[in-house]
Amino acid sequence: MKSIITIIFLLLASVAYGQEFKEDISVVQFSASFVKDSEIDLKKLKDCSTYTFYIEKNKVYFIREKIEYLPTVLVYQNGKEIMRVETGISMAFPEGTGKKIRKKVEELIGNKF
Amino acid sequence: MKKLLLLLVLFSTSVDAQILRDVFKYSTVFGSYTETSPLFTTPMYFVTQDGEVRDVTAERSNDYVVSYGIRKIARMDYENRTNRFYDGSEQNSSLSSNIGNIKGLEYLFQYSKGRQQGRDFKSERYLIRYIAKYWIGRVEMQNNGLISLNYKTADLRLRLPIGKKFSLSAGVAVRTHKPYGYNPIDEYLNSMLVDDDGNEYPANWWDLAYNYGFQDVGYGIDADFDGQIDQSDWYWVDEDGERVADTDLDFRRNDYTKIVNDYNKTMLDAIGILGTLSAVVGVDYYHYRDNLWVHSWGNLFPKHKHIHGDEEFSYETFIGSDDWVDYNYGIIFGWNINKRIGIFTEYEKTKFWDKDLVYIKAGLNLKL
Repeated sequence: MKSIITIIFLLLASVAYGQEFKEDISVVQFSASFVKDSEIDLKKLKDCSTYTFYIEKNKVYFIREKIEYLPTVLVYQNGKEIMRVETGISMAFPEGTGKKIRKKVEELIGNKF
Repeated sequence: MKKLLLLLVLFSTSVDAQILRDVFKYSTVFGSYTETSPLFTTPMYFVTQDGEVRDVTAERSNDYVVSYGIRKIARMDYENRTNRFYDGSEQNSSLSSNIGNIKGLEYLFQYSKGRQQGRDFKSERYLIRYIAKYWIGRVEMQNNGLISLNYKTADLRLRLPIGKKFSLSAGVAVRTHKPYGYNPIDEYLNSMLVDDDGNEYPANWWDLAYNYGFQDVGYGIDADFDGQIDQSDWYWVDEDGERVADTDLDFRRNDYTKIVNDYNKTMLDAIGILGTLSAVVGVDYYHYRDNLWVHSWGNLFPKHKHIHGDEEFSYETFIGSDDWVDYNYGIIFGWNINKRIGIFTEYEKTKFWDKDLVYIKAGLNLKL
């Protein structure tokens, strides 16, 4: 009985924790309105969930995910951080970042087959 | 299978290259051959009148399976890919539930043939599923010669995702099936037959045996030699006049069971395949973390309509209602309590028509 209660608690906690953006395979861009020009276009990623959070609205996520540079892109799979791409002080992503992320997403999906 | 390959080639040559890439991306074409020694057979010996011992153990050739096909079915995260290569023997939990581990198109076209325990068989399974955000479509045909499973199903539903883990769905499903609930031999034994003079009489079990060419011959036994018959019975001969049973009971226990099975099969085959359209509602939940996962699903089919085949033998007619409840549900759960202890369980229950199937597995792993 104790085990069942624990399981139910864990399930509810996983929902209540509100981190659905980390479910399955997702690409999350942590940004701010003043660096919009530096963002990468996530719309091209069609095989995974994509999110863009702005520090003005979702500061708590930035703290929880230890975001140090804006913008930053994180790739998650089942709650785990798989890849982090930061802009650094230049506030510009390294060249080929979009392709690198797309390749990583394809690799993660490919591992399911 | 040849027709399907032809369709595949036609499809490949007629559609846009990008669509083609999307359709075949992550898919695997596979072919495999497996041969194994047959299961152990208990040695059998026959001793002749002269005391000579002869080995009469049935000889069995090796079992083998040839499988080939193309597949694009995503494994759930908890399903280890134990073999590096696909060989056609894979069982994917995602195919039991309404949602898989990816959105979009999944498919499986597989053909197998071989021999198992001395019996030749062939199996086919063709499946296409599309999971979109707000709808699910699925068509499937399976003909498994090993377990005599033959059905077609098509399913179209609207889907309501609730967060990333829950999903509700509702729609319609078409299922083809054998005439369930109808037992031809039962009907035969409760029917009226007509004799040569045109008189009706209730069918007896032995009437069916006569139809199959068997005849019974009555005899009596005077066990105490007092000139009175103490016991009477019938022995049975086949159409060649060979004695096949010494008593009615002996006959019913042996040849008559084959007659009943053959009669049932012949009558059911004559009725053919039936089709039922059903309303369906479903629910799915999937949560995965490396140390805890839950995958559960359920489907309820509360309302039905016979749409194909002889309605007289539909399940609807058999139970006199169109609102019987079919359902299936399942749960797969695994929990690595800590680095050394893990527990897991799988439970699946299906109640379709008068068929009730249960699968259960549970276990504990302790790493020393």
